[in-house]
Amino acid sequence: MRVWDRDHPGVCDLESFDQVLYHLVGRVLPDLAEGAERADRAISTAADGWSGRSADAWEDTARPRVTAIRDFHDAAHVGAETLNLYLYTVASIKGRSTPALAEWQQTTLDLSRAEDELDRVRADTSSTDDDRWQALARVQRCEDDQRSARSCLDRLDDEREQADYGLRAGLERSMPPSWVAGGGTLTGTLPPTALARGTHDIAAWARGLPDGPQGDAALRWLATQLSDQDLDALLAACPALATRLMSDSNRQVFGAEYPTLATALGVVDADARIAAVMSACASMSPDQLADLARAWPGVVHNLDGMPLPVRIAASRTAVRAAILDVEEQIAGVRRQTAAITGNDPLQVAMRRELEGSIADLQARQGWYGQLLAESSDYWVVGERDARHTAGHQVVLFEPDAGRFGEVVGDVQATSIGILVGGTGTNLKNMPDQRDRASEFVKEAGGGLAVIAYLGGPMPQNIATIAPDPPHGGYAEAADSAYARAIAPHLAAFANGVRATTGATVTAVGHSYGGSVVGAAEAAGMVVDRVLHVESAGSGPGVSTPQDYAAPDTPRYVMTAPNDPIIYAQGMSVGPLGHGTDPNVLPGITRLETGRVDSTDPHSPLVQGGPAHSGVFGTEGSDTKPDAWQNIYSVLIGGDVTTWTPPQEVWDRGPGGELRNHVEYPMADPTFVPPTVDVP
Amino acid sequence: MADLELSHDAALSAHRELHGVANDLVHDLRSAVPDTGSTSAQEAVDSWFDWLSVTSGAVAGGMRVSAQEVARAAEILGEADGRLAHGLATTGVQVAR
Repeated sequence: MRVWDRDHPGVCDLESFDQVLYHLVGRVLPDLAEGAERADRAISTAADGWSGRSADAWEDTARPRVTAIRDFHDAAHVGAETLNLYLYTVASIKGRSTPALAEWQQTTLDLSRAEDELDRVRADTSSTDDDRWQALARVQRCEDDQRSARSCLDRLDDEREQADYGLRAGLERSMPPSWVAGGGTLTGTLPPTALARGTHDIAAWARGLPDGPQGDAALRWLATQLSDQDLDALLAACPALATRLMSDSNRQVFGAEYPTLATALGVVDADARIAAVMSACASMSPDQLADLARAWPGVVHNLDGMPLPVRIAASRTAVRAAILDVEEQIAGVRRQTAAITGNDPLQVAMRRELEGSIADLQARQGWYGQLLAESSDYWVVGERDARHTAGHQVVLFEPDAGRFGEVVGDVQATSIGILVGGTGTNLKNMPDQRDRASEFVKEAGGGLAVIAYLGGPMPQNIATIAPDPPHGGYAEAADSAYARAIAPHLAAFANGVRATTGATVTAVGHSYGGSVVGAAEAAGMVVDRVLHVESAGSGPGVSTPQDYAAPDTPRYVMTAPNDPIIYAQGMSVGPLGHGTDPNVLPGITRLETGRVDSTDPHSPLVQGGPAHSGVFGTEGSDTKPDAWQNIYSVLIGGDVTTWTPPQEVWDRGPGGELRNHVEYPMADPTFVPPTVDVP
Repeated sequence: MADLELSHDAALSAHRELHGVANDLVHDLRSAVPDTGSTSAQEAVDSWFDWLSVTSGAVAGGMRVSAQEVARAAEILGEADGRLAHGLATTGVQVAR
């Protein structure tokens, strides 16, 4: 390539430039515009003769592909205009640079001659002062002329530099930032037909991307070119790519591509950040949001204020990356195990411990695999018989911090519950929490979704003394530190869900989870309803509803007779305990826990130790207690039965001694409890 | 269940048309990139023509997938209809016997 220089600012192969531009404007752009129209018509033709859910699903994927063609056409059009302007400008520079160069060459020659003449006159002893003055004046005139000619060429140089800069800037504006950051020529190594040939070709290219920000950017660009299904297939074939997409690289590219969202991420206050994130998302099309989930899963998968479908899509990549991470951890522990070759008791014990770690990691990996592969049923809003099958809908995935959340049901449901488990809840048993949530969703037959939520490490035993600070030295379940630590996370999560879905959101805290919910309310959580189920307390340090961010939130509580949790309720000493007894919190409505089978008035009361989790029903049994019905009614709205206190009855024993006992009204099969409406 | 219907002819027509669109969308202009006479401009132009070529392949790929999907749907529904008809006919024969 011949490169332009100071004397030749118009260097450019204008003819071939013109030809390719002609092809671009005359052929490529019309093909794109016409292609979009033809595709639109073809889709309409097919859609006219095709009805049913498969037709809707096909049209939902086909139309965005046409939009992609139009977007591509528009971007290519901008690029073609930029090239056209450049061609025109350089042609103009070239046209003017030829005479300018000739002028400069002529003035240089003139100056040389004038200088020679001056030298000759000065050397000639017969020349007069007037001759010398005239020769000198001529040199000065020639110098002026040459400077003028040079400045004319210099101006053309400047024009060319500006044209080059304008070309780069204009073309970069027409391309996705991730393509530009991907080095352009690097992303350009992907064969044009690779994206049409399927996962194998794409994977081969993606595997070869170099490490570092440029390769990451190229991968992010690729992710935006694929459908969710194709990206899923690619990441299944190359899990390491999920790790790259999850990485924190290319933040500048993210800022260029999503400037408003990037600014929102920097907002410190959680509620203000949620509002800023939502505002940024409001200006994005569904396709742009889908691209966001594909290319920047690490940024958005846990981002409060992001629409739930975006979080769900991005979380799939997060889970894939986590599978690989666990795989590497397993390999590391295996190496450690292999290094222990002796058989003395200490080594045997160490080996056994490491083997236990491997088993735990494998179990976790298995669960991650289920999150990706396992299908699950949910029910669609307003269509009781419309059961949909989909994958797991993960909306919070931060396993290293012990955080996880999964939506059961339709994310568009008008009522959403957030179910916070109690002591013993951890990542391993979140499938059980999910099953518990699923029961309510099935019953609703649409209109209700429940999120099984874990906001961080929870106490794992009631009586165990926690070994590590800050929980060290206390019975774990009495320690409020767990609730305090989770509170701001739950507050932001719940506020984000409520703001983005517009649903009626109910926070349900079971056992220790009740303290977590209370702590979150004190930390700023504002939801539509709160329900304490066999709750440990109203929240650490909470003595009145005024301690909550929204004191007037409708609150409900249920505590079964003689559930041992009553010994924890209201007990607070320093960091131990969970605030006021929720049963007597001003303004709260206490609900009936009732009988084991809500349909059988002769069934026994839900009471005692088994009632603590028995309020959710008995595993393997289809019957549901009154307590479960009440939880369900708080979630969905409607009538709930309220608690009627027991009566203390005094009578005389067989020996005539005075004795007393309590009688629970619900023990009487004829007793009908009072009801209130949950609006 | 929503009404279920698929016109086989319409599906095949859409399949053909979408395939045709896909073929017309691919434009690999990388061999025709003009000489700009500027190193920095050349990098930008090379990158832009790469992007144009690869993206044309990507949108064409999307059209091909849509074309395959509609053809496959027609095939599946046709097969299901055929099997069902066969099954009902067999049942009818059994009942008649």
